[in-house]
Amino acid sequence: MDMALPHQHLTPQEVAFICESELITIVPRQRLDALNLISINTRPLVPPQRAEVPLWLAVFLRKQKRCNIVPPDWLTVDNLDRLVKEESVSAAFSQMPWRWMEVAEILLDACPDDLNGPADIALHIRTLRELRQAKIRAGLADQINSSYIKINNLGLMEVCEIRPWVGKVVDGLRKIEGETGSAAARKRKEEADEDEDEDMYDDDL
Amino acid sequence: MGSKYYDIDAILTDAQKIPCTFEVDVAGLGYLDGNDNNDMKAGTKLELPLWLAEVLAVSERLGTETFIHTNLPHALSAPVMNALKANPLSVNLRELAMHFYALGERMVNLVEDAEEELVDTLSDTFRQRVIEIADHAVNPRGALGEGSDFLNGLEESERQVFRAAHDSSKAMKGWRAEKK
Repeated sequence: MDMALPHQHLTPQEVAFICESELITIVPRQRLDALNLISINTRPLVPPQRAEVPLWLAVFLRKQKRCNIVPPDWLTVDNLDRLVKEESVSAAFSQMPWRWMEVAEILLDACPDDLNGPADIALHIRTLRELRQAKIRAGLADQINSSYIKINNLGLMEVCEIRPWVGKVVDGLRKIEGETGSAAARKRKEEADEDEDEDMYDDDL
Repeated sequence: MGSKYYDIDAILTDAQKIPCTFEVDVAGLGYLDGNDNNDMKAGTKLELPLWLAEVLAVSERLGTETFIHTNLPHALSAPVMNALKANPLSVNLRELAMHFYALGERMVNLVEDAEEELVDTLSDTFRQRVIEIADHAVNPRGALGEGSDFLNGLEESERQVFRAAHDSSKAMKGWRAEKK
């Protein structure tokens, strides 16, 4: 049944597919006239002028050796080194691009030669992912509840990975707590009521 | 019930037995207790499925009294709740009730006292257990190894959480593998 029906949540493949319409800079090796695509009209490619094209087109041209991809600024060994250090020291999530995991995986797969030190980059990406997974786990253990969960600076892929089961948990908690509400919510309500009572008392005086 | 009409889990929850005490004599209902052709006497204790107990417990007959008085089933009794408070991970919920949380959710409406405490214990239990469940789903430690007792004791909705977490982590691994 899983195969026949559309998935309720985005699969990693779908997330990566969406990511491929992001723009990326390339250095063309061959001339190419303007392309009128459904999503975008590209400008004529003239080597060695840099141009911005959708990621899927860049990967496509790269496979035919018609261009080189210029990796984004953040995808360098030095920057990732800094991010790994930051990530392991700080309790918060470090700022990563929204689609960091997809972009990194796609570029590492399509054009390792265009990256500076692809093996180190792959290693750092892996380390980052593991560090952040541990933090997600700790964050959820700390604050999962029936109303909301706040985790800043997660990437789209990371959100999509936890969404299926965290959604079920939040639903489950909401059912269990029902009309009674969670202990925290009741406490908040009591405090609010008390404040109201005090206000009324003040008015009487 | 509305949207729950075709929900197999809701149907199975309905079938779980609840200990009840009859408060009034009911003519011709003796067969429920195993003696045919007799009336049900007030004070008889027996286990009724939730769907029946719910209706009898809330329907009023001639004023204030109800047909039956419901008690908490063993799965939600004080010893079990205390065990859950002490260590939520050590209790085999599946053995107690296949649809443990759903049962709790329905029973809360039938018992008058300790309603908030029951809800709080259930929600704390669920919260702590799902994190452990997600850990097991993402990092399997061998089918027969550590944690298999815990995983065998998952009730139905917990199993669904396990499945969801396991599937998404497997999908991620699959995607990364095809990139390599």
